[in-house]
Amino acid sequence: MAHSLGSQILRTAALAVLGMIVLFPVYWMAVIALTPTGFSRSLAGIFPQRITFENFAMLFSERPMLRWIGNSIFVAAASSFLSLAFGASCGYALSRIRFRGSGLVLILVLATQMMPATSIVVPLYILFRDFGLLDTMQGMVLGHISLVAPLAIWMSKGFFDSIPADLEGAARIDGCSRLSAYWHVTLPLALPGLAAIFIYGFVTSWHDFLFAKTLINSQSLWTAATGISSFRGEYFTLHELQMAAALVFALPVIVVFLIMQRRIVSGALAGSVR
Amino acid sequence: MVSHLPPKDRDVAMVFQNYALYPHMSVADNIGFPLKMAGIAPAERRTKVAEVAGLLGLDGLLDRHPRQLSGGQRQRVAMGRAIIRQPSVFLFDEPLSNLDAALRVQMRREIKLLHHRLGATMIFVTHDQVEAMTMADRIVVLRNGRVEQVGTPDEIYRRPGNTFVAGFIGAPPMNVIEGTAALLQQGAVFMPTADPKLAIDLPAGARKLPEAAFLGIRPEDCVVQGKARTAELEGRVRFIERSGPETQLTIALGATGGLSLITVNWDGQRHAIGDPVRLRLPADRLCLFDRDGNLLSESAC
Repeated sequence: MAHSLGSQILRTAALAVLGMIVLFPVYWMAVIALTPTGFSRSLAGIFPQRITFENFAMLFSERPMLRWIGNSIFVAAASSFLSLAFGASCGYALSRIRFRGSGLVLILVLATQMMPATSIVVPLYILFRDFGLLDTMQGMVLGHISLVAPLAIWMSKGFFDSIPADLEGAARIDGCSRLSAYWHVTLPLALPGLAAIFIYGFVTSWHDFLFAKTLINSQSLWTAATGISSFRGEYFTLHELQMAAALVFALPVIVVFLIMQRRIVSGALAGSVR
Repeated sequence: MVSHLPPKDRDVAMVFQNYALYPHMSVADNIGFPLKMAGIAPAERRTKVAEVAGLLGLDGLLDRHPRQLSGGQRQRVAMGRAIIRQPSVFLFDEPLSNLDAALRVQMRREIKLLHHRLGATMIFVTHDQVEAMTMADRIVVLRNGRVEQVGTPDEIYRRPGNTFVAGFIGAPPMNVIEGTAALLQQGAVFMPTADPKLAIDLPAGARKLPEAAFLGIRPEDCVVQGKARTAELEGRVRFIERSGPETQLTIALGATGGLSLITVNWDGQRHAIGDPVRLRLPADRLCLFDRDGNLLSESAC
């Protein structure tokens, strides 16, 4: 059909243009990263004139990029995992157990999300200074948990709400305690949701610059986000190195997403109840 | 008393209205789950699951997941999960309400057969009175959490304890007429409020007549006669509903037609709307209820 063929071509073209607009910054990042150090300002076209990997080599040989990436992975994994464990248990309790003040707890948790991170970073700094948590990995993890946990609680409450309580009732009649019903029935069904929370937590922690810059001083404890910013000097910026670092910085998040996204499948609940 | 025991220690199995199957487990794992929780070895579990699956006709479906099953099959899996534990008591919470009519009739039979085979007590909650009548050994009629009557299906049907049960059990329900009873020269009669001239003869032995406020009779007990003979009540056919084997007639009684009764005819008599008919209400089939709706005299039923 001519009509549908024409509209299909149009749609494909529109998608292609949109894709190029979205992906161009990433492409440009790659072009600069592959240009020899100091030459990015003399780029004439949109293609790299001479491709080199020396920026990447320099990142890992002359700068502690590997260490920064390692720190970032540790902080992001630990804070998202702990937020997940904390959020899932709170969310489960708020979803399943009726107790006085549960609504208030939810609202208070939400209220913490209403304040911008910039407004809590100073009180957090003072608190951490008093507890001796400044410039430590534990402090960093704790700081990121405070960013991620509130949403983890809300999201997991939503996921648990969507799992019929009858399933747990059935499990308890079938011989489970409350805890084993949670373990055998509710938790496996909540996995797609929990995976989404983990990804959210990982990405939030990974991208955080404010807390990382404020709570950590020692270069050996920097996360990659702080590391990348260090290429920007007072008088000049090492664009090529910075872009190479940014590319390396993006990889772990993509890997985590690809691993976890398989868990996010819809229709996991189909067939359980009518 | 099991009220204070945790659910798993009550020796009760339950089939949920919505089946509550574990969606992430196969049919075999669903049925075998109670045994797994009881710590029974996988090999023994498999044998028992196969046994129960055979009983319920689920043999070929053990590897499937609940989402791949039809409504009736899911229902059977839910029953299998209950049966496998061999509990003392089964609770069925409206298990057939989500099935289509044909499947419901079939599952009704299967559950009844299963009940005979297992011999365990089954408590079956239903809003469907046909289910209640056909499946039960004993029926408990509940209204707003209160027991209205306990009895065999026959007792409940023939001698409803009050006007609520009379109206609730049976389709069409029992005809309940408001009025007063009195002992006249020709014997005890019941005079409907809607048309006091219609005197309905009560059985000779009827007791507590002054208290009587309602009279009940099952539609199929009303005898519809042609125009002839010694009928008691005259009326006209107002409405006809044919359902194949039986015909329901709504008959407006008396000169005013202020009182209607529903009758059920089995003999295929042909009537048309507006036809004059005569109605006989056999005295031994009547029930009398007091002002609060409670059954007065069983002898009248």
